[in-house]
Amino acid sequence: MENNENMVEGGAPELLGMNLDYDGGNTLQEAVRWSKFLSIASIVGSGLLLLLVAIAGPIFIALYGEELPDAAGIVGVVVVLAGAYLAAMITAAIFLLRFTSQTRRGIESQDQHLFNRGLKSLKLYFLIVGILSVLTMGVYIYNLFNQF
Amino acid sequence: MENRTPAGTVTDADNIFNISFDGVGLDHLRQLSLWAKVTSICAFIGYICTLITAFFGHPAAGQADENSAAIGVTLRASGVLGAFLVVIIGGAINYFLYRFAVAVGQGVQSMNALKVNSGFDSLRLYFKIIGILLIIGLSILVLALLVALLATR
Repeated sequence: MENNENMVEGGAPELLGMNLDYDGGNTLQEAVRWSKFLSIASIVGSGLLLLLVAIAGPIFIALYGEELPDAAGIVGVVVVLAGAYLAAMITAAIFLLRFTSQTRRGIESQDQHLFNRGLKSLKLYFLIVGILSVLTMGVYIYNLFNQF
Repeated sequence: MENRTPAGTVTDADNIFNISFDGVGLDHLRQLSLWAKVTSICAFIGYICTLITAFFGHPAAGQADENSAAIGVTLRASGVLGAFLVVIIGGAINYFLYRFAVAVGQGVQSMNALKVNSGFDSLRLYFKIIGILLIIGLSILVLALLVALLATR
């Protein structure tokens, strides 16, 4: 009985599909090893920074509120945006960790469905990082125009 | 008859991992190569903005007297040096990310497994370089903390 997940679009059998060969599998497994380290380090690092923002943020807002009441609102917005950015980074790192575990288990157990889920997790990781990159680029361009 | 392999197909002897990039997988690869490309291009644009700001941006200190001017020049020089460092390291990292995105995109379009493999090799190098830099950074941080602790005693 054929696995329907191995069908290409249109229902045709996997005659022209690409297979994961020995080199590709080894390369992926090594990539997965490094991505596991990066994802765990990112989760821990971003988590600590988020904790710092959560603790120090209200203190900064209160300090600015005393000295410059008009600036307190802007500082509050910046603190909230920083917290949201870090939360997005943690989410991306979690998807990277999922890519790591699902791809490794998919290759080890020869499970096509699990391997595909690993690719989906990697896709979601790059989706989040891509959106954050676009926003960061916007900030850089805004900063650049402010200089002149 | 179900076990008869049609002519021109890859046999199990070539496919040691028994995993293929099927329709679902190819779709995921297509989208992730697009977003990886977006990430790397945004990073390169950010680096260009950083360099322009470092070279031509407003100086941090005023130039009312000689001391302020000297401080301003020092700050500008350190800013330019820092920007170059960021651009060189970040450029190297994102170059491999861009290579991954392009190779995987081309491999999916032309159904070329070798291209996809070379893309994954670039992804491996991308993760490896970031990992090594992170290890170096964390080591420096730990050393700095130790030195600070020893200095306060």
